[in-house]
Amino acid sequence: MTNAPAAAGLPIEAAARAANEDPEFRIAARFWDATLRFVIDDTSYALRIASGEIVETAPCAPDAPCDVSFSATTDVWSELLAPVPRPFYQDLFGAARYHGLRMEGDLGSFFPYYPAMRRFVDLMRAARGTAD
Amino acid sequence: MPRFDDARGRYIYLTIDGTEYRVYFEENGAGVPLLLQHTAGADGRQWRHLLNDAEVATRFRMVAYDLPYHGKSVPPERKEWWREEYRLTKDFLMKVPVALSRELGLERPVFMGSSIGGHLAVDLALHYPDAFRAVVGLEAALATPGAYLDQWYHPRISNDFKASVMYGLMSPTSPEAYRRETAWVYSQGAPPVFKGDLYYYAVDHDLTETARQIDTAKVAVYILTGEYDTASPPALGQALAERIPGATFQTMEKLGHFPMSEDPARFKSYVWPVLQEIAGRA
Repeated sequence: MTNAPAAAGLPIEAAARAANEDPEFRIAARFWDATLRFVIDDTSYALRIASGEIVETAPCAPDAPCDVSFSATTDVWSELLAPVPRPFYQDLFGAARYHGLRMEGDLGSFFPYYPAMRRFVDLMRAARGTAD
Repeated sequence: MPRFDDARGRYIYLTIDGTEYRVYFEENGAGVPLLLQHTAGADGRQWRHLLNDAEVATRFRMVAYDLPYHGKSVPPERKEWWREEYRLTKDFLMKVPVALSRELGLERPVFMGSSIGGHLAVDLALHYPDAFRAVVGLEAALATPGAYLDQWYHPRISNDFKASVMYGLMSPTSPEAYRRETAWVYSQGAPPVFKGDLYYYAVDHDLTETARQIDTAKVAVYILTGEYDTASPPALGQALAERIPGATFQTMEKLGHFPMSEDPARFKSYVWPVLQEIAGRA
């Protein structure tokens, strides 16, 4: 995996390292080829997955090509990654429906890999807890 | 010596609208009859914890059934069901517990269900007030439009997606093993069933104009909603209860959309007082 500076406020690097070692993520991400973009306020960060492995994480332009993007404010990401999230922050769909997180892109291709993404959020949450 | 579960299962044949259905159910306990309805796309296994609760079993005859097309209730033999997309309607859904109650000889049972079961609870209170003495609607609402989506039945999207989304409807404080089990049950439904059930949940169920007609002097109505339920939040449950004169509402803290299966002990702390009150009225 290519090393890159940490995304401001999001523990993507640590979560990516954990994901590649995580049995649940690896099972859920099998055969997955995609580029995801995470946006926190004005900062964007790309994560590239090849054959179910996260092979690159790097800062990117706000309009960099990606398959799916996840965008939210610092406050929303902080709530989502809290050790015990408050109601409706416990999951991306809840955060999207009630708290303004946006999931955009080729969702039809992304939904089969939602279990992997859900696990990745778990790993970001764990990494955030460790960092704290 | 073998250790057996207290719930015992068997099959019963129900004829609804001229079609015979082989319906599976599990039961335990004696006393006030209590029908237990599962959520959309799932089956009666969601009730296994309550079914095995010795205290509840002393006062209630609990019956948890699998709707036709769900769990161990296979599709009917005499219908070419494979030639049409599966869709659950309010009319058919209401007739299942009514027929089951009749065939089992239950005397005005209590009905309790979650999600589509919660919606069904209040639909039964409105349309079959003489058939039930009380209904307990979990995660119920006046209406929950918007959920009848193609993504729930798409050739490129497996049942893992449904299971994972359902996992996210639960409280992060619920025991991990039970959240995983609840999601596992979701991963096992026949591919078209969850979306088809959501036709009832999101389209066919709407009590906005009729909830106030429910007569709680005939059938008591209790609404309980988990605070982490993003599908049918507490505000919707409260709005429903406020529309039904005499209904009660309670938010269940640290529970989500599947209270009976995601955290059975916490769920019991909320529902047992309700059940005792109902039994006291009997």
